[in-house]
Amino acid sequence: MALLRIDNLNAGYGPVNVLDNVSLTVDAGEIVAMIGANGAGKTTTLMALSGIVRPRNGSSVVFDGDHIESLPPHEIVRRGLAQSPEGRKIFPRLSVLENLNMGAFTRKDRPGIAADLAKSFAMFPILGERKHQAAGLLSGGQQQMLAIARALMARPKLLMLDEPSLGLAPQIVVQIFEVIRDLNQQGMSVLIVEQNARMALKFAHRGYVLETGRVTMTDAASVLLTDPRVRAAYLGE
Amino acid sequence: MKPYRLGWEPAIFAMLLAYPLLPVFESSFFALTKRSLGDQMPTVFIFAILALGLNVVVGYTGLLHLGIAAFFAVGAYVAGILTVGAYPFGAPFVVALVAGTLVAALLGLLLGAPTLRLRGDYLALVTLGFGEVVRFGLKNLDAVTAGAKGLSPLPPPTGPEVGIDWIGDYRPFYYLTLLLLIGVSVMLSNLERSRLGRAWIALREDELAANCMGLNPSKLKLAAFALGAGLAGMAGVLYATRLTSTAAPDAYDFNKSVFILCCVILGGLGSRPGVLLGVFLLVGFDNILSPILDTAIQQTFPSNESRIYRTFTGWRLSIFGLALILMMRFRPEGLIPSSRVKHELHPDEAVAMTVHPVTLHGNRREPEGQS
Repeated sequence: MALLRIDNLNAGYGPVNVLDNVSLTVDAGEIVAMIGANGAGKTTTLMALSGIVRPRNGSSVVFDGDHIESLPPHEIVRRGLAQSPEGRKIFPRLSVLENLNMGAFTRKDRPGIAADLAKSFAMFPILGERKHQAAGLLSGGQQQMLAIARALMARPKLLMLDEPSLGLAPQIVVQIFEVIRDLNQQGMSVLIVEQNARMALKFAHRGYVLETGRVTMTDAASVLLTDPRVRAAYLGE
Repeated sequence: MKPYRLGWEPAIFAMLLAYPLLPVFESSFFALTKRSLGDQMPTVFIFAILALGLNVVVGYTGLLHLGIAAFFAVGAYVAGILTVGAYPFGAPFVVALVAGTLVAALLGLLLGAPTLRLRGDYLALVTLGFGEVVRFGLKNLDAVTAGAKGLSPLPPPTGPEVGIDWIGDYRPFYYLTLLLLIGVSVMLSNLERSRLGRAWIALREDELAANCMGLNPSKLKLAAFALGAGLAGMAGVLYATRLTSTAAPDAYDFNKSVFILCCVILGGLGSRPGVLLGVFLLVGFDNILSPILDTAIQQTFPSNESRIYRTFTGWRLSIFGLALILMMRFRPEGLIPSSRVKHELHPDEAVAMTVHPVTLHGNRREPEGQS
């Protein structure tokens, strides 16, 4: 059974509909990439999954066996669906450590949180070295690491990443994606939304193409990478 | 968590606690100005509690609140209704103190529940409007609030049988208000380092991200609103008891709200020691320094004309305005900024504070030999 199954997700802002019957699944242990141009509805999809944008009536989101489409954001995080939002959105004036603790806000198990903190610092040693510094002082790549680590502090079953490559130098982007792959190899399921279609499809198992709020293509990532339409529209070839 | 450093705050509190024990200061101050410093200080302490309450809302949580005076008024009037002889309650001071705090906090919840989805300027306007509504309400509900006259006389905190002289001796009130201020300050310093305190700051920094982390913004904002209002209510009870009158409703107008906001901004948004300093400077200026200077001016230039510009008090608002403009130009983070705010307003200095200039590349991987 799929870890996340979305059927006919409709969402938008006020009278404007952004998502038009989006359907998608993520299986446990998968990296799924959602690619698409600006304004296609990628971020809105993640915001609707997190409950921050309310899905409209008729939308169905089943996560880990339960319907979550009408739950409030904190309840969704508690059930193991965590997001690292677009543009990193770290808390610049909180320390690195405090940022990570915020990620675990819905959790009460202190020993578990401490263990996960130690894990974060093992995975991202730079965060451990700078844990008492204001997070706003980190470089862009380090902030992205922090944003991912912070989302992991919720101990999610599915990690959603919104544009992790945004505004980063190409070599840092590679590092970020390697981190995502490492995480996945340790068993984390990942739903990643990207404009950098080449990188996303290279690291993902499966991909979805979103155009003006609709899923227009879906296939194995390697197939999408060689698809002439994808190559023309998203890979600049 | 960062190690807790004892700043100069405990030292200041210790000095304030010691002041009445050393009558030499009081008597020399009195000789200088014909005024009692000890008599003025409770007002400063009361406004400090009020400003600390506002700081919870504006400083920690980042919600612009322009109606704090309304909750101050509610505390004062609850105390008035519960203790003034014209009403049937005749409650003791402690009951009034608790009730004033709780009623104001409850009112904060009632105002907050429908309005906290508003942001920035809109919320500011609603709080401003609410402040005025409360003031006009108090003025026009004469059956309950005695209208424009205000309620009086409030009895002193203890009855005659206890044998404390609340009128002739400044010390009982001095200690009552100072101890409450210290209590509030200690509570807030713990709160700042608690889960709730950090959640407020996270919310101020980035509401969307906070929401993604599973923080519940409405609940957190309501908590901040209620705590701020409750502290304002507590200050109101003390204020009315101190004056033995609730004063007229017009004492709790928009100017009062802005004045308290000025204290918070001057001292440093979100910084507890800063807010205390801001209150000591501005309230101290109003209640202690300017009367002294007025007397000095009149003694130095005796004249039958007593025009307002010949008094220092007449220039009060001009001086406040100038001070705030200078502050915003040269030290926007406040006199004693919270370290978090400083990072944002002076990024260059903040960068100089980094201790580990390590590259991302060199530190990403696991230590060698673990692969």
